[in-house]
Amino acid sequence: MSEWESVIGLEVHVQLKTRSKIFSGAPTAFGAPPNTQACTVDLALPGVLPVLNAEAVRMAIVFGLAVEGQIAERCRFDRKSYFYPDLPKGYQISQLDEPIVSGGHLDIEIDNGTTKRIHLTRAHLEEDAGKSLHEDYQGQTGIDLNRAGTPLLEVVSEPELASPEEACRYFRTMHTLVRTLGICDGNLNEGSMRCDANVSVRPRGSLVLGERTEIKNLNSFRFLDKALTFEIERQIDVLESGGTVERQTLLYDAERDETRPMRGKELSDDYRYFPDPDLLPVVVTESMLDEARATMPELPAAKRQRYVEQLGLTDYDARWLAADPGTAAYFDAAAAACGQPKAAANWVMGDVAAAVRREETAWTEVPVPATQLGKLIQRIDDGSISGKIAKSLFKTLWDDGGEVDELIESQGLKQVSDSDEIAAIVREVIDANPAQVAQVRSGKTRVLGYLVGQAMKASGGKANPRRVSELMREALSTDGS
Amino acid sequence: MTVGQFATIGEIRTALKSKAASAVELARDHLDRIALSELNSFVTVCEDDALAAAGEADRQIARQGQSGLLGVPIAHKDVFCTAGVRTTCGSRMLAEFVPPYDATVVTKLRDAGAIMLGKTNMDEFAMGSSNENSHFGSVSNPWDANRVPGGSSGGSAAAVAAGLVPAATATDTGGSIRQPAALCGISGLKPTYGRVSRYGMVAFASSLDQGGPMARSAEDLRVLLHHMEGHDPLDSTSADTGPTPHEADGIGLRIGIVREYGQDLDARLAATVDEAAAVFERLGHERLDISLPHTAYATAAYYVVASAEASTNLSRYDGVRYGHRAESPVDLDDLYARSRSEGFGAEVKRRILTGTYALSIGYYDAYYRKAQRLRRLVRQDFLDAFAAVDLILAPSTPSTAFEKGALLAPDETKDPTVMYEQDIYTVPVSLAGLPALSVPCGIVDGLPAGMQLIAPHFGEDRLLALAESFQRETDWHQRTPAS
Amino acid sequence: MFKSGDNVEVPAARKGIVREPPSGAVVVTSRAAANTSGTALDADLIDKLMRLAALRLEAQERELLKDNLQKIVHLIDTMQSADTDGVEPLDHPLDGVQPLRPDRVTEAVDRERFQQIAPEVRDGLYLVPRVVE
Repeated sequence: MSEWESVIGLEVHVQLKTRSKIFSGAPTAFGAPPNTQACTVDLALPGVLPVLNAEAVRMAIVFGLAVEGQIAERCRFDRKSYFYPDLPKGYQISQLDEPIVSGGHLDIEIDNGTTKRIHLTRAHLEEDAGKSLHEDYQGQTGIDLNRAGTPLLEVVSEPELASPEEACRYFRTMHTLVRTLGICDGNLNEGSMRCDANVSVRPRGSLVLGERTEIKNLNSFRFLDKALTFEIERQIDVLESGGTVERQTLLYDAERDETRPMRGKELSDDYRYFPDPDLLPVVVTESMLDEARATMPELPAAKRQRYVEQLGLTDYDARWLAADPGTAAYFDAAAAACGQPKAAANWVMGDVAAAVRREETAWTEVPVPATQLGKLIQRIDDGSISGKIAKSLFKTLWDDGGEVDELIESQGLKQVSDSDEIAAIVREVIDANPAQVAQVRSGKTRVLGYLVGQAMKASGGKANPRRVSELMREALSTDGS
Repeated sequence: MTVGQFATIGEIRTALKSKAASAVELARDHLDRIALSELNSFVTVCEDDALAAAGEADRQIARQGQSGLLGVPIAHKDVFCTAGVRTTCGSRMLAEFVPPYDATVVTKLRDAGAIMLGKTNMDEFAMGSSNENSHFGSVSNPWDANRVPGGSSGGSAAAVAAGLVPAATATDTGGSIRQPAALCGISGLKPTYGRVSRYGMVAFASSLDQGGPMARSAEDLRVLLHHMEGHDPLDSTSADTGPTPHEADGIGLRIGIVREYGQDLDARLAATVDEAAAVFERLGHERLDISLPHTAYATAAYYVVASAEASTNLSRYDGVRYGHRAESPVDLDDLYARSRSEGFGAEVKRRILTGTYALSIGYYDAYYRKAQRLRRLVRQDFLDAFAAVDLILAPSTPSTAFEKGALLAPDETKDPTVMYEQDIYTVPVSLAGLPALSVPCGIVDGLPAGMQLIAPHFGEDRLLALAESFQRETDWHQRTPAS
Repeated sequence: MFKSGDNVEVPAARKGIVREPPSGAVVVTSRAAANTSGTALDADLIDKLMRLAALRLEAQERELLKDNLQKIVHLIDTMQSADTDGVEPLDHPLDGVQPLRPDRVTEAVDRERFQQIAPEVRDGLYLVPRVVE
């Protein structure tokens, strides 16, 4: 065990999925041609003014309620000044002294299923900046301001994360939460969630925090893990070789897998925060709180508990299903449709998940409606179709659509359970395979499976396998010729 | 053509209604005067657009008669954005800037039928009290070409005083409507903060800036305010209080005289304000002495707050998306520093640096926060006073129009704060967000003197009613410079 | 409207983000107000302000400006003799509440038009001298 321990705090920037920007009526679509989503306010033309988006406020309140933080009755926006080409006004509108959410906590799962409570310092609303495109435009940098003014909720944790693993777990838990709340699309590769990590190391057991560094702009679970792992190692090396850690802001270079000091001008030693005179104090009324409570979905932890306690799922399955709000919603609908949560869980985690992965489909866009999956499960249960038929029927439903009962009918998939019909098939198989029959009779019961398989094949998969097996056994034991 | 050079909006409307004059004739006439004027009160003249709009106004008048401001020529201070017409804000930074949108005030006045003849000169970014800080040169006072018209709305004030337009828009952050109105012998109204939309008005100090009208009478100010005011969803600080009513009778009011305002005042100017008070007494109003004890701190607090806000409002001018850009910058720092240093004049730089200082680490509490605390005390002074009086009467300026260069030497070696003292009677009102107007109340050595009337928040109706009654009793507002 | 009861103390300490004076900076607080009259601007401070404000001046202009600023500081230092203990800062002249805008796309973006006034653009991007992260 190392004689050092690390202390990590995260600032997660959650892009809120509003239709329009936080202070302007421009659209927020990702991937549009450069500067086609930036209106006069986003471009900071002279004389234009910010007006706050109600939906961004609602989303911040929903988040605050979900993490059991305090929602400020009154909060305020401040100007944070620095010059950088992707910051058109020369200041960012943010919240310094009076954030909309204070306190709160996020419970993360650590080893062996125990949870650890990570306290939140605050969550505040602010506007995102544009993007600098560093591809060479004849020695110049191109500026795209489409992202400028996109609403962000910056969630600041207390320095209570003890390892890169815990930091990643926290980031993942946050990712699940904000998507469940419907306030962020969670598309990491589009930058919808980014985090800055504050990290320091100290002798194990020490109560004094070491000097920290800040790693900016980490946009994937893997980079967060690798950057923190590298930085902790680096700090330990510095300290063990007698040096001191310097307080600085770092960038993680994924290609080289290392952190290096940031040189950019968005860093200032004096941001000159003061209340933005273009905006008035925001007052959160009781009715705004009520509205947020009314739209609050079931939270991931409650969902997991319900799956285990009410639906009888295993802890593993409950965790798996609740980790993604799209998956959980699909499962909930399928389970409700068939009334068999365990079977629904098996299907969702098995065939549906496999197809989702293979086809790279979003859970919200699975082509087989959850109600149809529920119907399919019911038809297996009532013996109408075999599990095998059901699998192929699911593929048909995925590829071509359709309705379960109609497909069973039109494709003649109904399972054969009629004893006379199955007995006839069994007879045929016994007659056609004298050698295998002899083997079974001589005690090689394993060959029985082959004969049952042949019978299933002869029935076109429609025979009830349990019935085939029963009749085959019966025929071979009574037929003594 | 039966409309005189110094006709009021009321007279112009009558002429248009009776077809004694057409909108095109009026526009032509005023444009000719603007072309001949040597005051340098206009930065941009929109001759073709104005004549086309006037032609359209005449067709409308023929169809449905004259209403609102249909066919009335006006000018806009060059701080208001005008779609397709360059908006310079008196700065080299925006010398070529053509906005793709109209300020709300511009839209509203156009919708009311007003014909924009052009954009008026001003102190750069509305910072100044003499109009000598303009990139487009200083403006002359029509009463004496060697003297300043005041500022920052010096172009609008001079143009109205000289009869180049019957009315003009202006803005007031610390006195920029009231002081030049006083120095040019016209009427100017700074409405309650939030009464007139700031959308499209190039920002100087957001919590102080307020647009308002300049004209030849209080009656005209009322008409203009009616067409400029109103809640604007594009401005978060815009007030949602409904239109200014027209019902105050202006009888038997208690008028407060501020004890602290006497000290730096020219005695002859003080006498004109005193005479005005006597007029009010004759009209049946009561005169009461009041005290505004934090007056002495107002100028300092104002310069801190206004400069702090300005220092960030002007950060957007970086040479990237619009505005002046330095030639061949070697790197990003060079682009910013040279574009801004070349684009801004000396006074703007001083205010930016003052504001940066007031907001910076270690000084924030001592300056910015301190100033905001004083701001509350200054406002409280007025609110306390308005428990005892209905309106306040005060001088508009400590002196009449001063000579060009007297307070601002070309080599900039003079103390810049001497100019700031011009605003001692106007700045407290701005900090408190109150409505106030300046109307002419005398002539001292051939130069106009102005007085201020100050009302509680949203008390414009009473303010205008009292000014109207004063102008029925006196003719100071009808005096014009010898041409 | 203002009530005298509004005179509550300044907000509690800044959480999370702290306005920390750099080491060696002259820290002036309102409690030390009396000491600020006569605040002298030194060259380092002027340098810092110029850097923060992204301004650059030639030596002679700079000296003049320093002199001007010193006079302005002298003016604003007159505030320090005022007793403002227990007075809450006033950010806005009217005690309004921020209006909220419905979340609707209301702005049409006409890039061509917006970029006609731009000093340098290519492929729809605004160009600046090369930026190093």
